[in-house]
Amino acid sequence: MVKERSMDIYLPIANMSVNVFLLMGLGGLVGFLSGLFGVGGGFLLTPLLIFIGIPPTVAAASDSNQIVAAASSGAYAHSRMGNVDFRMGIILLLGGITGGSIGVQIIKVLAARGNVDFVIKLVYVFVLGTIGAFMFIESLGALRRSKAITEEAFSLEPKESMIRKMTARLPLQVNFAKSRMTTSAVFPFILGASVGILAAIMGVGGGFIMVPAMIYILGMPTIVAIGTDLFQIVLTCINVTIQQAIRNHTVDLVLVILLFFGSTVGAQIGVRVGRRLRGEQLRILLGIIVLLVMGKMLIDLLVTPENLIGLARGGGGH
Amino acid sequence: MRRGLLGLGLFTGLIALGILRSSVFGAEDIVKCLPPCVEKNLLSEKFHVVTITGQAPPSAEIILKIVAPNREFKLNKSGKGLGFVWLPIGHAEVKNIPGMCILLSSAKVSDILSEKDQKVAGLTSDFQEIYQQAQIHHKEDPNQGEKAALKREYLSGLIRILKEAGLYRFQEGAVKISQGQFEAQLIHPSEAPLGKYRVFCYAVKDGKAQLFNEQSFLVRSAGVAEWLSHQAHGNAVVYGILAALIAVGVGLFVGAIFKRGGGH
Repeated sequence: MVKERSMDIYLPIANMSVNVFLLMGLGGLVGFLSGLFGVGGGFLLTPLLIFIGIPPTVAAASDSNQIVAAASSGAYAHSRMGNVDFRMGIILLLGGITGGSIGVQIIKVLAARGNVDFVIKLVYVFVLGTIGAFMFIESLGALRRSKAITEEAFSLEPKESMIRKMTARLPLQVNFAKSRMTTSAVFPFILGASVGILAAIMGVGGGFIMVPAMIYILGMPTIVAIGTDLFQIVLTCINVTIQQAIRNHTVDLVLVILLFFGSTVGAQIGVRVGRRLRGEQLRILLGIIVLLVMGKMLIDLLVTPENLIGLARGGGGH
Repeated sequence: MRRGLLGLGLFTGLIALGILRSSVFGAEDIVKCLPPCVEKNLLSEKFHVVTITGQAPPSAEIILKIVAPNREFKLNKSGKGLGFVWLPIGHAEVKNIPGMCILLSSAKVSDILSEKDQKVAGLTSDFQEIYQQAQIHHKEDPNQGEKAALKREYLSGLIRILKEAGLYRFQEGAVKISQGQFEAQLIHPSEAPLGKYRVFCYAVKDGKAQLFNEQSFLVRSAGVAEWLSHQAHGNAVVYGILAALIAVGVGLFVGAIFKRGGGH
């Protein structure tokens, strides 16, 4: 038998060998989309890793670690430009840490019960379905109007939302000078905690939920929302990474480094390509991609499995 | 005097055991596994090849059974829930089952061994012996009447998964015999568990299978892979902090190089 030569690398935590170029290619693809659309790729990368056979808990934990690297570079640049509301970021972070810790415990309990794969898929289907459908419908409407609405979603000025009016009555009112607003600290804390739980379960930074929430619900200026979001994502995902490493032993450092090599290059290409496309074209493309990922996960839940017995993969490949 | 007699008896017994062992298993060097130790390092590919060679008894066909250390599997059973989605409706833990089990033979097994003899020797293509040795613990105890059927359902599902992963295989014609020597190449997938693998060598003659040798080889992680795995499991706090620091360091380094923001 002739042994084929290939560029495989052994992932010690996932306990499997995978082609280096496949991993870097996945990182590159997600980085490209990240650079193209200005959102993180965590919500796409985790399912892609699961598709190629990485155990779901290893995929989610390693992706959180990869997000630390990706978000650090962005947060650094934004902080230099004065786009980070540190006070808001710290409160969101406290919520994120609380939520992240709860999320990791949820994963641990679900892994012990054997439900972790199902819950991760269900959360993905719900979140991706909602966001994908919203983006698709919104951008389709924009295309029909045939107007070049560049960065519509992120260019709205702060509005007085119903929730914001309600939070004005809550205790612990804090002035957030950079965000040009005064609101109860309880509200961003709850928002951070909710995203933290999702981040831990889905292995994502949560930017694609947090940024619209900060703009539309909290009423923060777009650029400050993005900078502050990146700042809190770095710290939230550091917490998730360490928690996953301690409790579940599922962070595969080799996998993380390879993904980051790919995503760094991909992001640079994505940014350049993105400059040539209109805002609604980008959003409709992203909406389609998000819906495709959601569709694949939905099919897995609806179609009769070939084998009714499955491995309950809680805790990596060991 | 009585002590002397007891000692002599023990000594004779040990010699007799040694003679018996060599007559059953043959000399130690009849069968060889190369490499004797498979090391999984960072550059390991999707599979390793272990070559098993040895002296074949005259006019006999050869069957090799390669068994990995036992391991535990946590399994889910899917069923319809909420009326339309497939979700886990049962959970079980299976113990005492090899993480890998491969049967390699020099001829079609059904031609050289009857079904009954295959079962007796534990050389069936559907790994029947696994069903007997495996222990299963259900999360919620099933009715006494359905226990056996449920065990069979879980185990057949698990064996199917392991077959698809290339961890359970039955390959006829994979052992080549030439001039009294046999040779087989075992494809060892990267997903296979670490530990000591036992190689049982059977000679089949006149419809009877006889175990004539038993060898072993070792599979272990090595180098950086071993270090990382050890740190992740044995030194998890440091490993987690290290993973986070490396990510921050790389991110800041790249950010400084490109000097640009990046949405997330």
